[in-house]
Parts: sequence; C-alpha cells; structure tokens
Amino acid sequence: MTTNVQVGQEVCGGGLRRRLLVSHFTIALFSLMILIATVSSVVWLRSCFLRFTTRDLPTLDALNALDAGVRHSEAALTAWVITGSEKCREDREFAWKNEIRPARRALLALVESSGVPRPNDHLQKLDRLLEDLNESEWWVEDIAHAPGNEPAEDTTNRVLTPITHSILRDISSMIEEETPRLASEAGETLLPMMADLRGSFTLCWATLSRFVANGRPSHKAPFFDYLAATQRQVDFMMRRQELLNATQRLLLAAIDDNIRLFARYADKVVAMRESDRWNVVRHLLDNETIPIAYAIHIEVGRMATRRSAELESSSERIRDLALGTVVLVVVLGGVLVVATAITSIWNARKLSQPITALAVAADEMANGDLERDLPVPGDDEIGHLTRAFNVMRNRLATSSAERKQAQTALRESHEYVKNIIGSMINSLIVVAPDDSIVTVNEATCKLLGYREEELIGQPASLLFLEDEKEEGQHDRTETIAFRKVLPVKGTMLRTLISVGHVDDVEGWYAAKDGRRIPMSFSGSVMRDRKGEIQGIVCVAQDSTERKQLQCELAQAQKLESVGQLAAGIAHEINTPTQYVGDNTRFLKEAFGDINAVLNVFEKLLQAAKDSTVDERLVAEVEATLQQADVEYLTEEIPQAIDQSLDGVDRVAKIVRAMKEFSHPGTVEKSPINLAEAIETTITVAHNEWKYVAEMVTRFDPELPQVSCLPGELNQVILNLIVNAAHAIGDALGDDGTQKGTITVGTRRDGEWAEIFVRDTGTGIPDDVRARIFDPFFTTKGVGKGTGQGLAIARSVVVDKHGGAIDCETEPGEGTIFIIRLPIDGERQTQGAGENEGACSVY
Amino acid sequence: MVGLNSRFVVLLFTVTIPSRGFVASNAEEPVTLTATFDRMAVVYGDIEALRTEMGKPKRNHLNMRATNASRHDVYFQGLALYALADRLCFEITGDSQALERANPDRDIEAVDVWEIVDAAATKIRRVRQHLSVTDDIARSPRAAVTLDDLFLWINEECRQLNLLLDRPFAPVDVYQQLTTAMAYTTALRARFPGQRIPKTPEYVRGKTPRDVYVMLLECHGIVQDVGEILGITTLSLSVASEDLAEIGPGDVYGLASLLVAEVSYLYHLSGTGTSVRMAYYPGLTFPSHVYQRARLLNVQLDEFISLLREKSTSVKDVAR
Repeated sequence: MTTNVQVGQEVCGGGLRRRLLVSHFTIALFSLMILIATVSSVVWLRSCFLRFTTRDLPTLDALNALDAGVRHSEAALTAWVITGSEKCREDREFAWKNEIRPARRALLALVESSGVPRPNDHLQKLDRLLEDLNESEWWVEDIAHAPGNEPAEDTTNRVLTPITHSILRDISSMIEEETPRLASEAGETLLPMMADLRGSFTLCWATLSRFVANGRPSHKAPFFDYLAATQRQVDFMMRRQELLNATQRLLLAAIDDNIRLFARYADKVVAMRESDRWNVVRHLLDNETIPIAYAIHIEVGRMATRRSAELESSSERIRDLALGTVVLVVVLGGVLVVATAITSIWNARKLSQPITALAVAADEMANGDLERDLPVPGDDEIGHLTRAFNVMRNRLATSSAERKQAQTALRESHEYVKNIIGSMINSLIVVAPDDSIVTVNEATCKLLGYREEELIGQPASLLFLEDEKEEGQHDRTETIAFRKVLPVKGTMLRTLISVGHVDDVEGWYAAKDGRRIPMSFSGSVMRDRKGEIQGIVCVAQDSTERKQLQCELAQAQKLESVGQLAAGIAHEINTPTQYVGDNTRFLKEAFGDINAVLNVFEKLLQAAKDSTVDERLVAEVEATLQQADVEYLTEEIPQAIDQSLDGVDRVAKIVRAMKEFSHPGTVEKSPINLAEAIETTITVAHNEWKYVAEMVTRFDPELPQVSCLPGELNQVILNLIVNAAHAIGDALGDDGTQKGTITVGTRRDGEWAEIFVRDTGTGIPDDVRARIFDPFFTTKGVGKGTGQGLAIARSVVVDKHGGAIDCETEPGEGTIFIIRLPIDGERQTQGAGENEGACSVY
Repeated sequence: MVGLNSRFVVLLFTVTIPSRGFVASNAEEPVTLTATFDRMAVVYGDIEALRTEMGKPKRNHLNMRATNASRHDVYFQGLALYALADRLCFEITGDSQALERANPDRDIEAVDVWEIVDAAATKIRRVRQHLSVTDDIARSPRAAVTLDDLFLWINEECRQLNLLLDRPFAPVDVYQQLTTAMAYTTALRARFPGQRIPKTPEYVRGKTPRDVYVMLLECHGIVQDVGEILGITTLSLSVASEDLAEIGPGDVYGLASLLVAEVSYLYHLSGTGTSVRMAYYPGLTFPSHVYQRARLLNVQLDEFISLLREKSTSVKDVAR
C-alpha cells in the first residue's frame, strides 16, 4: 500500500519549495538592500568618527600639550633667572624632556599617520622655533648668574674698584705727608685742596657706583661733574707742585695717571650701562627668548585654530551623517515591514490550507484512529507529505501490534528468569559498581533472615563481612568498590577484575541476627555491550558443613599419618621392650646365683658365731662362689638395670610423643616451644628416617615461643620429615651401607620464626616443581603418598598462620623447605615472603 | 710631519682653505710674510728685553710641530698674541684696547696677519717704553720663512708672554674661548634639526689643565674629521706626548684659540653672515669647570659630525 512513496524531488513537483523560496528571497532582497545601505552609512560614519577621535582630537591635545610645555619652560627659566634655584633648572629640563619633546613627537606621528606629505611647512617652522627657543633658553640659563651678565658692573668690580682704591690710598698718603709738614713749617699748604680732592673723588666713585647699580640718568651728570672737579683739582695741584715734597709729587703723579685711567674705564662703564645690553640675559629674554616663545604660541595657536576648525567641520559631518543614517534605516525598515507583511500573508494563506487538513488528520491519529487514509491534495510537497503520512499511519498500525506481542514475550521472559532465580538453592546477589545491592534471590533472604525490599539498594557491606586483615592496596576505584563486595584476598580480587570471575572463594555472610555464616563465593563481573562494568553477580553456597568436613578430614589425615607411623612406632617400642625383658630374665637368673651365695654365707656366718668353721665349709663357700661367678654378676647386673631403665624411658618418650602428636589440637593459637614440638615429631617419625638418614637438629636457643596451632604445625613438620626421608631413600636406592642427612632447625628473622628442613635427597625435578603444593599431586608410588602432605602444609602455614612456605631445590643435591611464621601469631602485612608456596632452584 | 715620529701625539686640525688661493705655501707672498717675520723678530726682542728687566723665567721648550698652516691659523694665533700683549700692557701701563674687528667675516689676507702681529708688537713696545727698557735683543735669522714656522714662532712668544703677566691666562679665559667655540658650533649645528646643545655633562672635581688640553685635542680631532668630510685641506699639529705634563693654562688657551679659529672659519664658510653670541665673564672658574665645558663642546661636535655624515658631503651642504 505504501511502497510507492519516494523521497524528495523525484516525486515532488517542488511547487511548494519554489513558492517558499520566492517568498523568502523577496524578503531577503529587501533586507539585503536595506542592510547594504545601512552598512555603507555606518562605515562612512565610522571612518569620520575614527578620524575625529584618532587624529583630530589627539592633534589638538598634542598642540595644547606643546603650548603648555613651552609656557612651563618659560616660567621655569624666569624663575631660574630670578632665584638661581637649581630646582628651576631641573624644572625647565623636565618641561623639555617630558612635555615639549613628547608632544612634538606625537604631533609628528599624527601628521605622518594622516598621510600629509613631508616636509610640512608649519611643522618645520614649529620645529625650528622650538630648537631656537631651546638654544636661547640654554644661553640665558648659562649666562644669568655669571658676573659677565652685567658687563658694566663686572668691569667696575674688576677694573675700576682696584683703581679707585689705589687713588684713595694715594690721596690719603699725600695728606698724611702734608699734616706733619704743616705742623712744623708755616706757609701755604695744599691740604684743603687734597681734602677736597678726596671728597670730590669719593663722591665721583659713589655716584658712578649708584649709576652702575640703577642706571638712572640722574646719577650720570653728577658723576661726570664730580669727575671733572676731581680732574681740575689734580690739575691745580700739578701746577702747584712746588708746595709738595718729593713723595707727594710722586703720589700726585700716580693719582693723575690713575684718575685718567679711571676716567677712561668710567666712560666705558657708563657706555655699557647705558647700552640696551647692560644686562645680557634681560636683553636676550626681551629680544630673543620671549619673542621666539611668542612666535611658538602664535604658530601653535594657528595650528590649533586650523585643527579646531577641522574638528568643528568633522563634528558637523558626523552629526549630519548620523542623522541621515537613522532616517534611512527607519524609512527602509518601514518599507521592509510592509513588504514582508504583504508577502507573508499571501504566501501563508496559500500554504496553510493543506497543512491544516494534515494537522486535523494527525489529531485523529493521535486519538487512535489509524484506519482512514487522508485525501492527497496535489503533487507538491504537501501532497508528498500527505502520502508519507498515510504510509506512516499504516506502519504505525503494524508496529503497534508487533510491540504488543513483544511486550508480552518480554514479560514472560522476565517471569521466567525471575522464577529461575527464585528457584535457586544457592544465594544469588547482584551488586552495582556503587556497592549497592540490586538483586537478591529468595534463598539469600531465607538464609540471612532479610526481606528482599530490606536489601535492595543497601550497601553490599551490610551482608559481606570484610576481612580487616585483607592485604594489598589497589589504586583503582572500581577495585576498591569490589573489594567491599567480595571479601576475597588481593589476588582473588585482582583475578576478579582482570579475569572477570572468581570461583569457590571462602568468606562469610552477616545474617540479620548477627550470625557469621561461612560461605563459598563464586562471582563474575557483569559488563554491558561497551565493556563497561555494570556490577558483580555473586553466587554463594553455605560452607558450614563443608568446613566441618574439612576439619574432620584434617584430623583424619593426621590419624592416617599416625596409622602409617604405627608400625614403625611399634617397632620402636618393641626393641626396648625386648632388651628390658632379656635383662629382667638375666637379673632373675643372677638373683638365683646370688641367693645360693647368700645361703652359703649365712651358713658360714652361723659357723663363725659357733666357732665351728671347718675346711669343708670353706671349701663349700669357695665352690659356691665359683659356681655363681660373683665377679661377673657384680659387673653385669648394674648394666642390665641401667639398660632396662633406659628402655623404659625410651618407651615412655615414644608414648608421650605419640600422645602429643595425635592430640586433636586446639582451635585457638597458643604459644609453644618450636624446638620441643619438632623434637616430638622427630621422635614420632624416627622409624621413617633412621634407616636412611642421620638426623641433625639446629635450634635457635634465643627463639621465643611462637603462637600457633601446635597439632597442625606438628603435622606439617612430620610431612616434611617423611618427605625428606623418602627423598633420601630414593637417592640411596638399594645401597644399605650409606645414609643421608636430614637437618631440622629453627632461627629468628625479625618478627618471624623460621623452621627449615633440609635433606640430601634427590631434589625436585623441574617439571613438577611448580605443582608440589597442589592438592593430590604426588610423584610417590601407590600406597606411599596421597599428594595431600604439602598441600596441607601450605594451607596450614599460609592460610591459618599467615606465614609462608618456600622451598629451594637442586636436583640430585637435595631440598630445603623453609617455613616462616609470625612470632606473635598475627599475620604480617609484609615480610612473609614473595612465594607463598613456591619452589625455586638454589 | 704627521706620523714621522711615533713619540708625537698627532693633532690634525681641520683647516679651511678657500679656493681663491688661501693656501699654506712656503713660497707665497715672500715680501709680506718676510715683513711679518721681521715684526715677530721685534716682538721677540722686546719680550726678551722685558723678561730680562722683569726677572721672569724663560719659557720651557714645547716640542710642537705644525704643517699645512694657513694664514687663518696664523691670524688667530696672532690674536692670542695680541690678547696677551694687551693684558701685559694693561697690567703695566693701565692701558687696554680690544681690537675692533678681531674676527673678520671674510677670508684672511696676508696683510691681516701682518697687522695683528704689528698690533701686538706695538702693545709690547708701549710696555717697554713705559718701563724705559732700552736693551736690544736681536733674534738670530731664520733659515726658512713659512707659515708653519710663523705659526710655531707666534705660539712660542705667546707662551713666553704669558709668563710675564702678573695675572697670566687662567681657566676663566679658556672657559670664555670654549664658550665662543660652542657658540659657533651651535650656529653650525642649527643647520640640522634636533636639539642643538646637548645636556651638560656632570661636573668632575680635580681636573687639571692637562686634562682640558687632552679633551681639546679630541675636539680638534673631530674638527679635522669634519674637514675631511667636507674635502678641505687640514692642518697637522703634533705635540710630544712627554710634554703634555708641562701643559699650563696658557697652552690650553692657545689650543682653545685655535679651536675657535677652526669652528669660526667653518661658520664663515657656511655663509650665514650673522654674528654669533659673545662670550661673557663667568666668574670664579676652575679647570674642572673648563673641562666640563670642553666635554660639552666635544659631545656637540660629535653630534654635528654624525649629522654631517648622514646628510652632507660638502661645505655647501653645511651652508644650506
């Protein structure tokens, strides 16, 4: 009915798709046009804005910074000129280094980035002005506080002052010459003239000094007046030299020369002071530095003005552009909305009619009506959809029936599996990786006293008793989780994880009433299709009865050993018994002879008392003594007694050893002397080894008592000694003249006690070395060994004592078995040895 | 001569030699050069007479050699001689007269050299007259009459004249000369963009005239390199290295004067024509101050020659 439905364009006419495409493309075209217009506007706006923000504004900032820096340097320079403070110099340097030059560099970079071709006239002019200013400021700074800054004052100080001092000194000397002469000689004197000369020159010097200091013209004329007066007075005195003595004439000549020199330099000084360069720095500042700075301000101002105008223009453009963009977007957006609405409504109306019909049919189908096909409206996508819808309806009807059948089958299968689990005699538990119990069977509930709902979801540790002495630390989380689930030893757990299952592992359940129920566990890891672990399926069997049987079996094995040893022990007892009997019979016979001697001596004693001793009696005594062989008896009887006592002790020892050895033993460990225990076993086994080997014992006297199960340990040592004797016997063969050596000893190794049994037997062949500790494995002949000896030894030492048993062997040379036991009886986490039941070649 | 004697420190002075014949020539203008030598003989005689009269010591011998000296070099050496003579005159007579055009903005002619020597001779003669020294001491005639000989002779008389002064040329005078050299160098440096005056070096205490002299030798070395770059003839001057220990402020002043001559002539060649800044009296000055300024000049010249190497190949480039 539905096989004619195909996919896609092959069947569809594509009419609906075309109509949809035309509708969408029309809208997309409108949108694209608007988008292009909008993006163009925005790009233009962005470029204007970028120029505004990255060039125009920073340029203005740089110009302002440059201008501020120049003002800063001017202020610092002025301050330096006024105060001479070093800080002002540093301030000026700072202005140039950190303000002017960086601003200038920034300006240059902005100009270059704007694409303006170099050289830029304005910038070059500004550069030149800046360097002119820098140079000018340097010179101002250099000159400002040098004496040469004011040449008039400098010349006055360096030239005129010494001349003045010389003149005044000479005038004073001349007056001093005149004063005593005037006192002694009456007549005309030039003393008043000299005083006037000093006064007028003093005034002349004072007015010149004032003029040099303040430059006021009001001091210039008086200076020249006083100078002229001074020169007139000197001229007058020169004309009246006859009134002076020789010294005064020489002084007057010197004064005349100095006055002329003074006048010449005074003219220069006055000219200097009147010059506009009387203060070099002030002249430099007024005529060079400040004008340059002013020119810079003007130039920067012009550039800033131009830039501001450009900024204003840019701002206007950006504002207009932004407004235009908004208007454009709004108008085009409106057009788009209208066009889109019209197109959408028209297309929606045409498209929605068949789809609505389809929707109604879908509702009917949802309500379970799968019986009626829909009418196909045409050959376009809606028609195809309708046909596909009809096919789908048919398939749904079919698959619905099939699903009901499958559900029924699944339910039955589930019931079947549940019945199987429920019917199991053994306990079954399924544990999830998160340690929670997901499944338990009825046998488990019955065994432990729980209801199923009490266990589902509970941690597995509720049921499984953990062995706190479990060794081995594992990093893997899942290993740790499973370790809680199965109380197995480390190797077993690793086996479970790596191999996927464990079998017949001993452990305990914890019943609801607190009982510990020994169980034998078998488990396997349950994985999904991807290999991910889903949990552990664990089947357990109550092993209480089996454990009891094992105990009985062990005891039976011991009794079997005793039985096997019985013939030898009987022989051991028989030998001393025989010579005890022989000696007793000898003593019985000797006692008759001694009794005869005693009788004859009694006769002799009576005769002596009666004084009737005669030769016949003496001869009778001598004959009796000779017959009895008293000397022989005296020598042999004590030996016979000693041998008898020794035989009795030996029998007693054997009997005691047998008693100790055959004792069923205790359940709890108890401290024992290992040497005594081994001696007992050696005694019991004496008949087994005495014909083939010499027994050597090497016990460590310092070894303390070791906590162990004595009966079971005796059994282990017996097994090893018997094995050693058999190995030596095999090595000797039929040669009865030679014997091997069995060395048994003890020693201490830290917290461990070691027992070793060494023989000089055949050694263990390579091919059987790995199996010697396996149960029921033996290389001995039928009736000589059961294959249980070393298996039991390993079980007793490793499992029950937490120790280790190792062997080293060399074929043809012998074997040594070493047993390591914890002295305190507690199992050690380390030190038992790598080989718990291994054999290697030494 | 350059490189003839390894004991000499070779000094190469950059000398500007104009194309119109301002060259050092041993045979050129014999009459004028001879006349100048005659005036120098007078100067020598007067200085010796004054030295004898004043009881001053005779100068020690400075083993200096010069080659390729030009009238320009001799003229500026003559200026130094005049400055010394004027100071002596001022000390003895109280008379002092600075030259009106000490640094003419034109090529130096032979007559300029004669005039400056004559001016110095007049000053010294005035002193001699003032002291009424009448002894005549003649100088033995010279075998050669070259500009090189004249340059060295004037230099010797400068050193002797300095010893006659109560206030001989001191660091403060050298300082002013170096300031003048800096002014010229700054004007030259202004042809190129960038900072014209470098940062002032640190003041180092305890410097001696010898240290300043050595620093000025370095400056002259740079000026010589400038001459080589610009393709002009250079003056070579050598001083025995062991004589450097005898260097005094007067010798430093002479070397500084030569340095001023060289940079001023470079500036003259650049054709700017504007005057440079005047030196000023700096006040109390030690050799360390002078050394500091010499180092500043050294750095400035170094920057100048670097710019020159980058951007110029001829004198005309400097003039732009």
